[in-house]
Amino acid sequence: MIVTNNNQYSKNKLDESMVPAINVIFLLLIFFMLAGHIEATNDQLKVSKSISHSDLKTESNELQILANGKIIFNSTLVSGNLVAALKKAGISKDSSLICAIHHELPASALDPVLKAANELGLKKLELMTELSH
Amino acid sequence: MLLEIYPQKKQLISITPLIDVVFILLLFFMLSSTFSKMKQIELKTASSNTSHSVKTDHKTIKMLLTAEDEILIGGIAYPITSFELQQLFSELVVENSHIHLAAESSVSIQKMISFIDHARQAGLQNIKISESVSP
Repeated sequence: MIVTNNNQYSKNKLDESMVPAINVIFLLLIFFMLAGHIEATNDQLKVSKSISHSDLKTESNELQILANGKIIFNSTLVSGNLVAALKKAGISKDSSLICAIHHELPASALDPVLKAANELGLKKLELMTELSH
Repeated sequence: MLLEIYPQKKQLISITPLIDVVFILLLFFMLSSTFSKMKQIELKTASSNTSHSVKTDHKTIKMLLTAEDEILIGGIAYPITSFELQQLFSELVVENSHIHLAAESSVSIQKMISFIDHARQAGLQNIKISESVSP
């Protein structure tokens, strides 16, 4: 008479049935690791959506205008005169300046940047956007 | 006396903790990953033509984006999505016109950028931005 261990058999069967699920989990993990990117999110700075496909120039000087109106230039809070801060950083008429501005702010929030750009003789200004689908 | 020696059963490494770690990693990447792509729009500033004294063969059209989703061009208000505005844009593209865009101070940045997208889609590439205007 052959006696089989039913418990062992059912355990092995359960283990085997879990293999496809584990494969899927691994695939999902690889997808999120490769396709996604981790970045610090700031509720005070959500840029506008646009259909523009121009790649962001990462080497440029970055000016941020937050939802609370604070202006941050190259990770430093600008408390005084914006033109002076830009001049101090060596921004000249040929420099590249990227402006990331919170999408809900009114157009008047961009005025100090445009004034500064005019004073410094900047010919162009790049606005950071998020690609909309 | 001969003793029967059973071969020692090979101890397999349990993969359960590994799967637990993979689950935790998956949760971490799912919750912290973003798929947004950052792009940029290049705009000319009002000072962009001050250094040029060369006579240009294009005309500059002043546009004012109002809080009512209208565009004021030469005193005439066009709804942004109107057919007349599309036709006007097509004419401006043919004439190689430059746009001098200002927005009312209450218009949101998102609306302004959406309008710029709209104009660029129509073929207008030379858009200059200037300071906001109080209504």
